[in-house]
Amino acid sequence: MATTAETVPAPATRTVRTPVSTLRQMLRLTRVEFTLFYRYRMALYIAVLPLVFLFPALSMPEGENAVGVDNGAHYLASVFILTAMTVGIIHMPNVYAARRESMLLKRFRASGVAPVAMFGATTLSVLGVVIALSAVITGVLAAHFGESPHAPVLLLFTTTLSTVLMCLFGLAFTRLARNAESAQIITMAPFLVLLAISGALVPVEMMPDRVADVLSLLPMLPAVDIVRSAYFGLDLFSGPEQATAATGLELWVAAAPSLLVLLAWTGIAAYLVRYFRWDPRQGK
Amino acid sequence: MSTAEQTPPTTTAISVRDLRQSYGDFEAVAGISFDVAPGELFALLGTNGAGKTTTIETLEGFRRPTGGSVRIFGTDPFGRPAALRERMDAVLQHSGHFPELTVAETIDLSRDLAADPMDGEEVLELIGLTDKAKVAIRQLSGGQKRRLDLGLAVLSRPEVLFLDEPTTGMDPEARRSTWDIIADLVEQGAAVLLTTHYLEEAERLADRLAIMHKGEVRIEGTLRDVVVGWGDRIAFLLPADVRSADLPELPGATSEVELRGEEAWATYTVRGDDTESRAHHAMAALVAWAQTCGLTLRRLEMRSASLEDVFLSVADGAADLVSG
Repeated sequence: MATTAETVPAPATRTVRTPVSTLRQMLRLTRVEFTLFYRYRMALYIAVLPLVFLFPALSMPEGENAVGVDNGAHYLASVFILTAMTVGIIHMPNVYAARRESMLLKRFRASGVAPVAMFGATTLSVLGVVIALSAVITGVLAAHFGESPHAPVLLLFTTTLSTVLMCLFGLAFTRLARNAESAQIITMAPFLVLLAISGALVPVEMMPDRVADVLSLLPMLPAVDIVRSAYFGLDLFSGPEQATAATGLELWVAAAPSLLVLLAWTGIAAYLVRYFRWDPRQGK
Repeated sequence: MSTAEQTPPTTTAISVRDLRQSYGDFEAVAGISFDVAPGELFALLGTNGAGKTTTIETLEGFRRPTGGSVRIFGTDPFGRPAALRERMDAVLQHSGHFPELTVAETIDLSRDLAADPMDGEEVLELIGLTDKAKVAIRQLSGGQKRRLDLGLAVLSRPEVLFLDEPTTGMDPEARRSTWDIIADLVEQGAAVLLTTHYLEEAERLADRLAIMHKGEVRIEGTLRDVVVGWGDRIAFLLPADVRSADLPELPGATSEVELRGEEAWATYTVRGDDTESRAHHAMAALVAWAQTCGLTLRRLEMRSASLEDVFLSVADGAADLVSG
């Protein structure tokens, strides 16, 4: 170690400090998060896990559904949201439970890193993964089904919003996990529930109207409806029977109620993050 | 009380006033007060569960006081307000890292998150981990991780530094080097609050110290103030033909006979305001008595109190015997 000859620069002699902005801290941490995504095996596994949702699309019988879209393509468009849900809801509790238990989060806070910079960085890294996977989904839709997105901005906006929403939910669920291992088990419950209420695997048309109405107010189905409408240029918000072709502003207007539902859920999830637990649950 | 009323003098970096912290019915901190000035190291000692870490976590801004107040440069640290973020840092009792990053990557990250940080190579050299720069954190030993913790805390050159058992797990050489780093920080003007289980560490570093027990500060002052209050000790092997009742009264001293193994020892505790010469007067009287009686006091010993003596007496709940 050092001898006394090496000295720590004097704190009292420095009068001007340029604070590092929260945004700069967030972007710097985002770089680290991407590094960790490929160095941390579990994170890498979670990042590629959504690819399994591609296989049902490729094995579905050919044929158009009620709105004139190939069955496989119609299903595959929902995978944008399933991907956001899977990575957000599983990755966040996994890494944050581990970081909380190791006291990494408290060390960062003690060193002046704002919580929003930490949470924002992980969310941005998850968004990066989701966007990369979305490019794969788009590629399969284009190459295998010959479908290109009609409203890419609305598609990207909704996928991003869903990613943020699911990351916030994932952070809220971290409170229930004792460590990274228990986080993986605990997140299976919300994962399966969110999958079931997405309308992706079980078409909502097969459900009773009252159930479908309730699902349209929960966080998954509105997002799935928007991305399908955006991808295929159809107004699907009133059900397949009333589906009509729509583009540009028409789609945004038709999607507005569903977007508001997603924004409301994002607000609820953000509120729940206020109860994020910083202290370890296990004795140190 | 208003904030204005709470604002301490500008010479105070850390101010704690009648701090109380409760968890349900359990009062972990029961009304403690102390100040730490810039360029001063204040050590908070105590047994496990004495309330040290709760106190330090309150000062770090992680806990809102149940009662009383804490201030860092006159500002309430709860929630870590932006005004304090650049000015304080900490080595927590347990600090986490990204195990997948290397030492150099970890230091670079902390440097990029801090305002006006030290040079990365300088930090590595300071904590003696230059040769481990490219090693993943998961491969470091406990002591090496602790040195990294210290490096990450000092690289931001904080004006207030909290050190919660910073040398735990270090080998003696690393501990001494760490003491040099801490002493250097204090000399440069940082206000440091240290908790430690190594009493030698407090003796070596602390300008002032407090010993906590069951949430209260039982003893506080400079090292000399604290040990002087405990008294000086004179002891000798009790001669075979001397009964305890025959032992002389010495000025300012109380006597007792204690067993050390199979042997009976006469022990005097010398207290009094004249701390400079009280031991001399007591010893002179004892030797005079021995000469008069024609006795040789075998294995005669005299020693001043150590911090360990005082600490153990507080931990045993004998603090009232100590407060001289």
